[in-house]
Amino acid sequence: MKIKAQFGMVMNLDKCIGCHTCSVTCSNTWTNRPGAEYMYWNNVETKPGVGYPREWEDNEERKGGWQVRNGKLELRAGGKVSKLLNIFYNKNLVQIDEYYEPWTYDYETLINSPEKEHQPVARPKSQLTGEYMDITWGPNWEDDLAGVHVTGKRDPNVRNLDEEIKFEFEETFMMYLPRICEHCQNPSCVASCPSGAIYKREEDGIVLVDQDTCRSWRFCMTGCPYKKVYFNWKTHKAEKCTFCFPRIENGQPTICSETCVGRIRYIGIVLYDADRVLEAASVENDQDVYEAQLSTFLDPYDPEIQREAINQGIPEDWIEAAQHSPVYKFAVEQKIALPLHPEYRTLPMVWYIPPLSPFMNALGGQVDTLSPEVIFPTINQFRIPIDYLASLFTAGDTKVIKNVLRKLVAMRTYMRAVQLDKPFNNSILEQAGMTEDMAEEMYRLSAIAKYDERYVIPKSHREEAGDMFTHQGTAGLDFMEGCKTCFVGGKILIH
Amino acid sequence: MIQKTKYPKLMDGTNWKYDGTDPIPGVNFPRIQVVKRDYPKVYEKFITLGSNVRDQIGAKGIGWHAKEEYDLLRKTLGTNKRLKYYNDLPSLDTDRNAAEAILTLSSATNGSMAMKAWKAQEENTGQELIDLVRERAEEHITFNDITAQPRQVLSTPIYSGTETGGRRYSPFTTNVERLIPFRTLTGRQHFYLDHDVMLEFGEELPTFKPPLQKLTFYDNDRKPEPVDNEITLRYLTPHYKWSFHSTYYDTLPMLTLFRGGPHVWLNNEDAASVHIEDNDWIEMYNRNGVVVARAVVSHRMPRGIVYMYHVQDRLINVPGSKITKTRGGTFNSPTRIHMKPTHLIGGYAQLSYGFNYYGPTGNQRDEQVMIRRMDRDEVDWLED
Repeated sequence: MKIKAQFGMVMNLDKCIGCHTCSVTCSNTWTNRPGAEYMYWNNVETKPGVGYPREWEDNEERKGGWQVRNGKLELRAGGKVSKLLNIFYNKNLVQIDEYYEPWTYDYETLINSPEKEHQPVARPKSQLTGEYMDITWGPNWEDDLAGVHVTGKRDPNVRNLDEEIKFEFEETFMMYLPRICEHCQNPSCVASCPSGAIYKREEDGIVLVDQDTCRSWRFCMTGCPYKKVYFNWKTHKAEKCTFCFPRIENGQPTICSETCVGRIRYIGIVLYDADRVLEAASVENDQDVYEAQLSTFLDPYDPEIQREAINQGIPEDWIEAAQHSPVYKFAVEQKIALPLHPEYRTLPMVWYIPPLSPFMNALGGQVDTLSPEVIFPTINQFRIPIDYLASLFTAGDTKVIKNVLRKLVAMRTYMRAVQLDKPFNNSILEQAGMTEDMAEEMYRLSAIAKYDERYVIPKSHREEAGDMFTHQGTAGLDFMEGCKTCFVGGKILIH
Repeated sequence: MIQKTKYPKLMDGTNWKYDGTDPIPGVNFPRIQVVKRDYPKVYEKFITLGSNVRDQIGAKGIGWHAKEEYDLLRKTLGTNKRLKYYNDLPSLDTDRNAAEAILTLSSATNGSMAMKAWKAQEENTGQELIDLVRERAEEHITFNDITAQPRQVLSTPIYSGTETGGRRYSPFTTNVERLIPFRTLTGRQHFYLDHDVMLEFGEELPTFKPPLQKLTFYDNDRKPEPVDNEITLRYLTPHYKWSFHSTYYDTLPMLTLFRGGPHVWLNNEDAASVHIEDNDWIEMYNRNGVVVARAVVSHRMPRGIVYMYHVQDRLINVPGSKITKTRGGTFNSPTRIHMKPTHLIGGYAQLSYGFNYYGPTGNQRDEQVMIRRMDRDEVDWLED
């Protein structure tokens, strides 16, 4: 057993209001500089829709992530040999226009314009060419379903839906999906890098790009199935979400979390067994990857695990943090948070609580929201189709989604009864596999949790800062291609 | 002559304009206040704090004094010895001093002012109220304080809610819980208005009025040449998530996060019926004005309706209109303020003009607009 600590995030989509404050503060903090201005390390998508970059989810086409062939896990974009053969021409590369052509405005005109017949106007200009441009795509072009009656049909998640119906006014559904780098347990970007420039930090699992080592091959961009590695066209280096490591190391949440208006974000660590990652990512059936990933997580309350973790150098305060981790609670204990597209097999570490939505043609109008006969059938009537959520979060397994929605509905129903001092039929909780305590805890964490409960972030140990440098450039995972030999500080590390 | 009645007794049946009765300010004529200006002193008045607040400060019909606070401000803000006329008054010559003066004089940010305000309200109402702020009587929120972090304001009788005890603000809580009369004629929750004009128009109680059936153009209007594909839709200007009223959103980061300029939402079937596709340039117009913007076509919009979220700036990414041969307008170009006689009532209860408190209803948005597509090559930036 090789115990690792890994930072994770949970986003409670039920509370996301689509304000994009996360995107704005992230880009103000990290990417508003030439070469990076088109990057939204954090973006918020309206789903259904093709998102940013366009159709990032279509990995049949984009070739991101892993697949299992003949029982063996391999990169969809091809392994080392094919990479070497095609190293000067990566045909799966996402082009800038598929993100968008960044623009600015001719603001000076407004102030400096000489007197003219018509009042001046600031026209959009490309930040790439400096020429006037016609804006035809942006990083959030589909906001609130703008144009989605057309683009939505290219959203891979609607494949299983009756799409003609779903893009009609009466059947409209939508949700927001904020996205950052997943800081995967099994990152395919790391495995794709021919230079070993992307690495997964040994001590906390954050995935970073070593700017000195990056050789601009851009295979990470293809390798990442979430399309969360970007190419700085000015420095010619790959850049990506850093999980705000300078803040995290100091015990502070990422800037996207800190500024989240809906307080939808939670940060904590999980302990996991790195020796089991390959096995988990290689299970045959896509729908089994979620459970397999869960099985890699270790119980931080188990004295055996604690002892072993300390032996392997995990600091004691990190074990304590793992016990209080909201990520562990939502994902493992309550099982209401789910990974985004587990079928990409990267074992992502940003998990989502799926959103509830209003129910349609609801059961004869008058709904007694405390009756068990009525509560659960409403799930099938949710405006957001179960199949759609399943396609996002469970590789299409509707059973898992339904279980989660059942829990959320049961928790709400229970709390409603408590608040209104009404009798409550406990079978509602039982059918959802819950107890009163669990419902209370779920309510507390998902609805009213304060800052310190939402962000349980152990500080990094400065006294070991020297070791961090030694591990820079290593993946922390032995089996992955691409990073078995990595150049760091003039020293080759061999695992 | 200034009559000191609190509410003028309007509508006593006389009309000075026609029947020869005397206009009496505050009775059958608006109250008159004579304001004298000594123009050379105006600027100095502007950058100093006059001493009238020592004796009288307040709002909403409650008054108290600010003797100690005014004298404190003279010390904390200092005086400006370079001034000619008012060099012994607290100086407001910097924005920061002005902010500090407000924080010192406001009953929401200075405990001593809040105590006086509640005391005055106790005298007004006969209720015990001072406990609403006693626990924070010694607090004085300064500019440094609010620079460091946001602070919770003190409860004050200026507002109808209370935040005492860490409570979240909610309107009318002190009216209900502490029996402070509502600010109506009767002091109760009160919907009936016995004003003659309201009676005459049948609006003495809240009344449903359907949207006005305004047309895009009337018979004698100057109309643009009709084209084959144009559609008439009901025009709405809802609050946008990123802008409303005077809070514009037209910064580069926010414009980047949507379509980069003014946009107008319409239903996909409506759009298709006049060959408009998503992101096409459109002209939207009626007898009041013309907008040139990008179409946002979406199935989330109901048919028959068009949205132009307010507010969107017309300084950015707005080309010329083919119809007017000048630059396209704003979301308010197709609207027109539409007064009705009940808006003209003044000086009676809440029917009195107060800045940002009372104005015409939103009926100017009961409008219809016509929309037509503009081809890319018809887009003229009017650079001349």
